[in-house]
Amino acid sequence: MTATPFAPTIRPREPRDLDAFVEFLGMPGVRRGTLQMPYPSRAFVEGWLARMPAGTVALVAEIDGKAIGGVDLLPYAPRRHHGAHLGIAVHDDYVGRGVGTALMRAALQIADGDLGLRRVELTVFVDNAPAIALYRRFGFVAEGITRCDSIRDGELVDALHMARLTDPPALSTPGT
Amino acid sequence: MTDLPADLQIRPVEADDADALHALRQMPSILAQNPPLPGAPREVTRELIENLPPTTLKIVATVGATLVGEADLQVGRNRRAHRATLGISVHDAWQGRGIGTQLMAALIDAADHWYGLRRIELRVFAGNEAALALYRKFGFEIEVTQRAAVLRDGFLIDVHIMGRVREPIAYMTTGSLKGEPQ
Repeated sequence: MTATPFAPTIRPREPRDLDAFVEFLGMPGVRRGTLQMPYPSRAFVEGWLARMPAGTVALVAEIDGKAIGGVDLLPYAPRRHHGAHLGIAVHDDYVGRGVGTALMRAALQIADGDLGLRRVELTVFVDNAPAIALYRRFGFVAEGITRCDSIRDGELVDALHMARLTDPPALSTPGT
Repeated sequence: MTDLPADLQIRPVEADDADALHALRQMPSILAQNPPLPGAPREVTRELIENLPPTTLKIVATVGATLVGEADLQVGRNRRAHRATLGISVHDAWQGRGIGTQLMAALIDAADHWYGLRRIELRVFAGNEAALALYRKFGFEIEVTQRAAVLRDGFLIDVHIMGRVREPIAYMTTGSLKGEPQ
């Protein structure tokens, strides 16, 4: 049985989204798929969001006026600034219904269309099959596995590194 | 066979090292194998030393008054508190003398025996065979090859992530009450 896909509104993340983030970053599914800690406090989440580097692209997916997912493109320093790191998370109650797809599409549109990035990279736990499938659909390719990458529920789990390379933006074709 | 300088010293980095460290980081062969930007201002290195987080162990190698190498271990936080990222550079004129081996041995000893880390990782530009050989000697293996990850002299080059994984630290072997009936 396929649940009806959601059609979330995608918009920039704003300070008013803090409470929604505190709620969904603390959910068991989000914690399992990311590096979030148990019982995130408001101050912890606020600090985490504030520490993202200048130039970060941060979008949220909104349904019924509430942010239920987010994606970030974190820029790198010079000599690596043709690339960015992508992070994404979706509220436990809204997974499997197209929210991640909508967030990925919007973030990569900015990466390709506005930032002209050549490389977008991400890491995902090796057993997170739905996420890996999502990333593959958007052209991400596995580049390797870091062993004992992070602690998750009492185990040291491996992380798959994926990246998506893009050709440089084309020159405009005036007069056409 | 190495030609290890007799008066080589390994010690923690000090605020006074800022200028020498900056000069080291701007050497052509260092820039060719590490991501800092050529012409980066001196303040960047000064601030780096002054603002070292308590989770970073940073050491330097000196021969007399000359700073001939640097290395650091940046320990992770939260769900990555079991691991660290390692970085190392040796002065152009002092390469091939065993200084990298000494710096590596110092950090690995700290990581294994005093921090109790399970994983150390590092990044190395593809094709840096001398560095790859040094890291392999200490048990690092290539885990990831990031394509086109860094710009060097007009080309996007690949970067390897190497990892080294250890068993958990042991219980004390003498006089431990572990397992004794209470």
